[in-house]
Order: sequence, then structure tokens, then C-alpha cells
Amino acid sequence: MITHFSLTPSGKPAAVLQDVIAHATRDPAVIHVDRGHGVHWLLFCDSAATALDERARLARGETVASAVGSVVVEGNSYEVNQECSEPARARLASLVRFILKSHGPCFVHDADAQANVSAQVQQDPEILFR
Amino acid sequence: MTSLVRIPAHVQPPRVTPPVTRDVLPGVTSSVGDKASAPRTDAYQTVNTTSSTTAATGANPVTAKALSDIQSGRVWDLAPANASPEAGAFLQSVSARLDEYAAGKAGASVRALELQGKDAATLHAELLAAGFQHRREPLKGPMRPRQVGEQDGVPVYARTDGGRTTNPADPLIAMEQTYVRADGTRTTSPDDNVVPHDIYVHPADGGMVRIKPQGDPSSPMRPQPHASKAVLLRGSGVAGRFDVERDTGWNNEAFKVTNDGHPVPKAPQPHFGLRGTGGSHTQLARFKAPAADSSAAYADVIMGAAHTNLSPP
Repeated sequence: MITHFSLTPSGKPAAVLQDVIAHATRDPAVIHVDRGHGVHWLLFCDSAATALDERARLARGETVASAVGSVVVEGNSYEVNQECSEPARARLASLVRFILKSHGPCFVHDADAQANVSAQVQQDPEILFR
Repeated sequence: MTSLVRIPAHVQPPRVTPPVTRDVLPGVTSSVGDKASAPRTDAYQTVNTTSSTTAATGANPVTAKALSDIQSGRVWDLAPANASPEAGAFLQSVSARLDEYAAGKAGASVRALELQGKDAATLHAELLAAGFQHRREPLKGPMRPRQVGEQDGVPVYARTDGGRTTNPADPLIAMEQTYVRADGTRTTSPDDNVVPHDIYVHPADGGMVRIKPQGDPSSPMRPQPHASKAVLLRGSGVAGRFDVERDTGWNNEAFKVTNDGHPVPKAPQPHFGLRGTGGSHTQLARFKAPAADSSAAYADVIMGAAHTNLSPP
């Protein structure tokens, strides 16, 4: 598993982002936060119920729980953090697979090993998750 | 015990997209409104960030179980079923390091180190006096392809051979490191109002302390100033001594250590040694915990215990 990595999809960044957010937020366990200045958070919770709790925390101005997975988007760079609970990680993985399939080929950088793994991920996307 | 920290307004979310209002998963309909849409006007807000290590109120059965499991070691499963070969190999190394930690041969420098109630400067002085090596670096953001232009709205990237490409997966793509600014945005200049990241390693026993004295303003989870303790797997120096310049990567981190000195998995997943998702549903039922949400709460307690908020200077 590569716990922390970044990816950059192909294509027009604004259109890709719109598609990614639309796809991700079909799942009520995923929260989208527009941070302004072109920064977006996609937050992956265990369930729709825990997402409601996290929304309430955000509404109170608090941070989200450590069990939440995240994709932080700035420009066309997607920073993925899988340091989260297993159900949240499974949801996050599902979105990453969608990005790789629908908006590839993607630049993928392993932040833990400091290595460009784009070619390996094109061959076998599951190296990110197993 | 409850600690209060002041979180700058820039870490507050200005806008949360309302959840979908139709059924998108079987039986699930979202109904919460967009309560976070109002922009904040105050510069700071006092937020209750009760540390999970000290939040054992007894009122929450999942919290109580997680804290009990941390203390008893039941939080660990070093031979999970269906582990991948990669996870199995990693957990074997972790198991050996845990034995050394228990015997006082690894990470003794961090076991009794008290983080709670201290600021970054106090910890810095204590750690240097205790023989830790120190490295300060700008807090890194993601690596990305180096964009040099645009063609019909599509980014054009530099190649290392001087060419250009619109394919971000080009094998010769030129990359650039980003860093985290104090306002949570990224920059490619390490001198552009970037927040620091202090790393301390004890060369003899592989104890490591990470301090983010200004937090990670880009993090949805932990933007506030905080510190964590960990034990490294292997040292790259002579006779296995640990080096703060080379040995501190995530992949070389064996496990984290709570402020109280208990080892916990470095991330809340079986891959890193966490027992299931906080025990079986049957186990959790004994604590009257709702199984659907208990794994997140359990994981949150474990990871909360592995990080300690810093006191203001």
C-alpha cells in the first residue's frame, strides 16, 4: 500500500475537478469542502451516519476525525492520504480508481518513498491499495 | 483532561457542499443542511480539542474500549488474516521492533518523554539535551509535474530532456516539490511563508519525535500545532545507528507511541497492525457500541492517542 501519494490527472483541470467532485459526492459518506483559493477537500467517512457527524464538526469550526480519509485538491494536484479507517480507505480507493480510469493517464507520486510511480500504477493500479 | 487551542480562521471551511438529497446508496438519504456555509469573521476561534489520550470520560464505550486496548496491547494484530505479502513482511519487522521496545532496546528515548503541556521550544531544548539529532525542513506538500504553459485549456508540462508534453504520466516528466504555506495553500518556494517541520531522532535507539510547531494548515484533521512520537525500523548508519537526515521516512516508521508510552499502529488499518476495525462486531456489541460507526470512532481514538497538541509558546 502507498499511504500518501499525489496524482495529477490528464485533461482540463476545471472539468476534471467538476467530474471528480460530482462522482465522489454521489456517496453520502463523502464530504466536499470548497476551501476557496482553488483548494478543495474530499473527506471520506465510514458511513453516511459518520459523515453527518463530521459535517456537524465542520459546521462548528472543528477539525474532522483522524479516521477520515482525505483528498486535498489544489489546481490539478490531488494529494491523497489513506491514513484512515478501513471503510473510509475503501471509499477513497474507489474514487482514485475512478480518476485513474476516467481521467488517465495520471502522474502518480509516492510521497512515502519519494518516487514517481506513474508507470507502475498504469500497469497495476492496485499497488496503491494492497 | 480537555485542552483548548486557538485555530486560525483560515483553517475553517468556508463552504461545504450540501450532501445529495436523493437516495444514492440503498436505503440512505441525506438530509443535513449546509450549516457551514456562513463565512467566519473572527480571526480565531476557541475549539475544544480534547485529546483522545485523555478523553476517557467513561461515557463513550468505544473510547473506553480503545483506550483499554491501547493499554493492554490488544490493539495489535500482527498476523491478520488475508494480509498481503507486503503487509506480512512489514508486520514481521514491526513485531521484532515491538519486542525490542518492550525490552527497552528500542525507542526508550521516547517512551517516557512527556509531550503534554509543553510548547515546541521547550521540547526542542529537552530533546537536544537528551541526545536527539534535529532536522528542520519546510513542511512538504505534494510533488507535482512542473507546468510550463497551457494548450487549449490543457496544462503543458516540462520534460527532463527539455521537451514539453500534455501527458502527466510521461516517463520523462519534470517534477517540482510543493510546500505548505501558513494559509494552507501550496508554493514551490520553501521561503514563501512556509510552515516548519521539526524532526528529532535518537541515534542509538531509533526513537523519533515529529513536531509541527505551526501545525499543518493544509490538513483537514490536524491543523493545530502538535507533536507525535514513533519508533523507527532500521538505522542506516554504522552499527545500525539512526540518522535524522536519512531514516525518517514513513516507510521506515515501525509504530507510533502514545504520550503515555504505549505503542500503537502508525495508521488505523490492519495493514499496519490494527486489530480488525476495533474488534469484532460481537466484541463491540459487548460494549453496546453501534457496529456501523464504531470502527471510525475506535480508529479516531487510536490516532488521537498518537498525537499530542502543543501548548502555545
